[in-house]
Amino acid sequence: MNFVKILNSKLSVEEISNLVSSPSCGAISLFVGTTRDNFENKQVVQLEYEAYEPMAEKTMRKVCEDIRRKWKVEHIAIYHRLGIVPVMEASVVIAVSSPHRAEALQAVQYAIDTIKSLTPIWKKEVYASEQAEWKENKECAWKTGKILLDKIKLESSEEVRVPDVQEPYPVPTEVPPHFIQIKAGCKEIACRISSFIKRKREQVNLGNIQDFCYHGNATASDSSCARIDALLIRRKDSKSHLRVRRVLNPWGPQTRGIDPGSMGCTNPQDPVKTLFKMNVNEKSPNKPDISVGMAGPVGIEERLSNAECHLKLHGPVPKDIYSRLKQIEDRILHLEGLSPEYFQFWENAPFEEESEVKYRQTRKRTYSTAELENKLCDLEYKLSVKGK
Amino acid sequence: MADMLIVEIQVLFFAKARELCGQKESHLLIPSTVSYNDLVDQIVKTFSLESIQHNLILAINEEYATTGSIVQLKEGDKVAVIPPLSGGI
Repeated sequence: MNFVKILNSKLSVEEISNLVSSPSCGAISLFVGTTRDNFENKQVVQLEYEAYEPMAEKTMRKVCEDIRRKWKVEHIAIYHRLGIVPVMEASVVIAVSSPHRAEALQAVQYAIDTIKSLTPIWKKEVYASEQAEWKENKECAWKTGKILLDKIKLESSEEVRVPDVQEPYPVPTEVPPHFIQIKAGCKEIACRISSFIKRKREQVNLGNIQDFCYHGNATASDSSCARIDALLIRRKDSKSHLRVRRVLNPWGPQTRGIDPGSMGCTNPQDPVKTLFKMNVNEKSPNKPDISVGMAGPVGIEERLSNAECHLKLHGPVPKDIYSRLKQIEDRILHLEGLSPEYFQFWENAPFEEESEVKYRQTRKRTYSTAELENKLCDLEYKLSVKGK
Repeated sequence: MADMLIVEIQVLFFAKARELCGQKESHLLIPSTVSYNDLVDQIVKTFSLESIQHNLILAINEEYATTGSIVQLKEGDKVAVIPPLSGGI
């Protein structure tokens, strides 16, 4: 509902605020314009308001309609007082209620700005020392419409101070027109800014709703609560609703199946080589490097394929030597888990595979990968020495 | 121009305009079709509002008139002299 009134009596802020309150509203925004006791160091004794009442009321009703076109608000109350208004009392009270605060706040701002610029109401200030004078609002629409420069000066339309209009447009008149880039009126600018803010808020709001409150096909309702409604929709590759982007780096050690941290690898370009070098050097620092490629050092390839064959690992083998070992280990573990007696059966039987035979006595020990590596290297070294 | 209709309009004064001419409202005979500027001139001259001549706007039947337009008036129309506004706070 719209409550528009022009009164000759004191305005009650509380009554007006009660008028607009509504159970469906979460916000009442209130603007109270009060009279001041001074203007430019002049003591103001008394203020008097006069209105072209039917037109003022019409204009104020139009402001209400404009607000309803722009924002979703529940009730609007615009009360203006006429006649003598003692200092500190309210001359204008605007109250707007809306379900959410943003609308009410913006609507009130718009209302007071528009009222100051369009409503035919006049204020006379009576001073202690000087002659009384009729004030002029800086926002007065038809005055600003006449003078472009004046329009630009008006950007701070929310300024509550009653402007001094007696000064006849001082410095800005000297600004050459080609220096002025913004030629839209202050209302237009304010409108653009507010609609920009509104649009951004809507975007953020929608984003939040989609992130936290999206229930499949359920339509978004006005009353939602993120805390209660939030559903965790995992994004691809992510543990939460946040998007995660993964980069596959084919040159890095991890994508090649090697964890440089645990393996003590210092050369990510060729972890295998580095590893071999290190292990060998640890044991006997003076021995020469074994030249190894990614295919594996001499003999290892054969042993690996033997082991794979024995474990019935058919199909494509990974290029990386560690992946192959891992595959073998996994297979062994798998078989062991599948039927423990399998290994007991083999315990007494001689192994065809060299390495397996060698470690038969310690079969029940659990080897770490590194230990296995060391042993393999050791063997490999011996083999290569033999070969020489 | 002989058949030009002359109508009597009601002229309303507010704030400074009211103080200058010393009355709240008056009447004026004016051609029914008149340019805005002529209408202003006529009112200013009749009611001695010269001091605020360039600082006022007219509202015709409670609507702001457009400066420079041609105004169509009928008998009893209300023309208000609006000095710069200072409502609100």
